[in-house]
Amino acid sequence: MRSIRKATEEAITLGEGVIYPALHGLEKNGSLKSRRKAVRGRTRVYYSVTRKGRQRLEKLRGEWRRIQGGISTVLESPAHA
Amino acid sequence: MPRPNLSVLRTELLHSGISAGHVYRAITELDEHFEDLVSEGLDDGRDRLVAERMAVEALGDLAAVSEAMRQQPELKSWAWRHPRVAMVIYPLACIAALPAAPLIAGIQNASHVIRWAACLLIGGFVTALMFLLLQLTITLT
Repeated sequence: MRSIRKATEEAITLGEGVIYPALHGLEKNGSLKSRRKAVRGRTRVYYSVTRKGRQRLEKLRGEWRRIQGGISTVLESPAHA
Repeated sequence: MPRPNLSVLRTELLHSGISAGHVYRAITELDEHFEDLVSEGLDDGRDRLVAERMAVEALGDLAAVSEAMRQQPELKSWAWRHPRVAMVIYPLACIAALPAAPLIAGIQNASHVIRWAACLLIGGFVTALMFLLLQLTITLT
């Protein structure tokens, strides 16, 4: 969450707790896989993106670009200038 | 001491149909995350109270966590996603499991059952021995 906050220059700031439902959902639908490792008496969960997850990311990225392009076209058209 | 109220979140999630496994996992991870944030604050030289307050702030609003979990149908329990099937399957499974109940109870209380069986065997052996001695006494006299 800190990386997201930093990368978006604080445009997206969410509580760190919100990451868990998102990760669990992505794992459940097969976009992520996790492995547990005990580190200093605590269980750490390491997530990695699966092939399905990468495909989903590409699809979502494409959709986002399409929507973004559409909105930009509308906003930049002479009627809205 | 400021701590996130995870028991309220647990109850809320279970009542909204999130599977028990996902609830347990989310609560455990949130709790560990909180402890990590507190440790981080303490390592930075902060007072425990301040570190805990900052950790609560960083963790964010638990209502948002609850909302995020409730919005994901894949995290819902099987019975919640298929209530009609569950209403048929669960009672049938319970009826089917009834004959196994004594067996399960026996396995769970194996030590008591073994002790009881041993007592019964010893009692039976002593009684049989007494009858044998009685019979022998009658025969010999």
